Amino acid sequence: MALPVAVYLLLVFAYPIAQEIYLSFTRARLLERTPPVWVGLDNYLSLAESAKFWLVIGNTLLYAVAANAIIIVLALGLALLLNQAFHGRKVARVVTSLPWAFPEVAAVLVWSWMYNKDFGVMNVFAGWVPGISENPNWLLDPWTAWFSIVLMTVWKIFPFFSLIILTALQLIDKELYAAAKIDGAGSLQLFRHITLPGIAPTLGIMTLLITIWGFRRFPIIYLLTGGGPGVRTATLVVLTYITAIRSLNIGLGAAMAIVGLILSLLITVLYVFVTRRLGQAQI
Amino acid sequence: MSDVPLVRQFSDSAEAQRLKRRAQNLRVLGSITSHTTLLLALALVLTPFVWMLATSLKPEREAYLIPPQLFPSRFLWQNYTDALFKYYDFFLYTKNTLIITISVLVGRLLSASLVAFAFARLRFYARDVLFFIVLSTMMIPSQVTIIPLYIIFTKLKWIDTYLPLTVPAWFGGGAFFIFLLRQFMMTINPEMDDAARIDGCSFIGVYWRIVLPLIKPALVTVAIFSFMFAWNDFLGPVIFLRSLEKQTLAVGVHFVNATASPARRPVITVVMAVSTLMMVPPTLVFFALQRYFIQGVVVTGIK
Repeated sequence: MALPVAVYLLLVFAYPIAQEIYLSFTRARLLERTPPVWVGLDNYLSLAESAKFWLVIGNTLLYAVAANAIIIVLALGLALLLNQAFHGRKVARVVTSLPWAFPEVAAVLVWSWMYNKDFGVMNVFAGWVPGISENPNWLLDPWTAWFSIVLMTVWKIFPFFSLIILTALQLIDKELYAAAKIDGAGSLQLFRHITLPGIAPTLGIMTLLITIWGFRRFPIIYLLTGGGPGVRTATLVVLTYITAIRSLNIGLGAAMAIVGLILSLLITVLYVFVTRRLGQAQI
Repeated sequence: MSDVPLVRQFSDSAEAQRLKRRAQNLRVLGSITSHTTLLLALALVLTPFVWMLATSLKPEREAYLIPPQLFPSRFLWQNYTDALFKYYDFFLYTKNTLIITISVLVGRLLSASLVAFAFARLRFYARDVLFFIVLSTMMIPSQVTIIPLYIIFTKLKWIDTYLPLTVPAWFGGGAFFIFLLRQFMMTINPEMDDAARIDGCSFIGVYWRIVLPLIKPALVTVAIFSFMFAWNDFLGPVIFLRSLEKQTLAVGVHFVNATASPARRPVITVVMAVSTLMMVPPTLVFFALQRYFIQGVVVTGIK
């Protein structure tokens, strides 16, 4: 039984990665008949020297940290609220799952329209903020472009995350709360000692998935800003696509992809390490 | 009266009244805060949908008002018929997308569950190492493999066919799905399999007759994820498909954005109508199966 699995792994996972690693040491261009030329570490060296590349690495980490932190806090807050009994709770739950079911590509069309400099509805909201007197140049100014990307990402991702946390919340034994209350625990203590440990495994694995998916998230950024202005909002994935597929420079693109791979693996190892430390090994 | 209950006596004291009032005030304050927060969150979630629907029903001229107006002067349903029949091969793209989505779905359910079964139930050399390798591929950005895959598919002469988009799903269906199903299978008591084995059931029999029926929530989860991923995939069709008439909805939507009007500029009202239409199938699938779906995800996270 081991043999088929191993062969399958080799074919579907290992071969493309091996090929990619090989390409990252070559000068190769898409759609050319000449075979790749071995150039050793040249691609990696030129990446290390490129200020643009380091900016993009910074962007990638910034995007992962900023967007995910907001997503986790909002999702946890919303889940705790939805876990209480109130009128219209069912409706609220249905509404919160809408963004996840909405195709990313169509969502980008809607958001770009909302971010339209002249006619977008976001200008109306911006007008409510004191100190903003004219329409922001939403997708063309680096800072507002980042704001726009993060806002849309949060909108798209946090409802789903919060739905998952909500389900985990509901699986916590209600008697635990009752017992703790009799022992005189306050609501902060209840949260700290019952709620948080109860949802920690779910929170952990979802945070890992969201971080990883954040690294590879493509349409939102690529279709919203194209990574621009310049590469100010490009993440590694976007720059890799632009380099390898649009500029046809496969060798350099492959080197970028391998850097992305190493980053993702580092995060996973970090995650496994932290969860082992906290005594709730997942994997 | 001397036989007033003790509780009553206590609750009548001034100190108790004060405490009670304070607790009540706190509760009211808390409930106001939480309801406000909830309303704000729902407003954030709903704004794009409201704006999309509003724009999709406006005459084009009214979409370009400053300041923007929410309600159209009249509902222009023609935007939807334009989206469906005039500017855009909506039904062709839908058919293409469905062909891809369904073949991916079937392949993924069968192959991912089979691989997951091997990892969950069979003992073989280096199983856990292999599983860890599969898991780590989950962390690989698709951009890493897309270039080698492009080269492989070019050599196979598969470019501009649906094969690059569908065949991989029949080979394991992706690490995430294997992981999800394997986690779920681990929650099932293996004594069931043993009993079936003793009664003469083969491994495949155990897989098909015992394990598959028991992991239905996980299978539904995989089905929904798979449907969403395939339905929404943008990079895959853009890279592997060339002909316009083979394109999917996700990519087609962007062509309509570019060429929707005779003047070859996007008619934003039609674009919003298309976006609305594109949202319908995944939303229906999601809500029909939501209950199983969440259960599947959570069990995966807990075990």
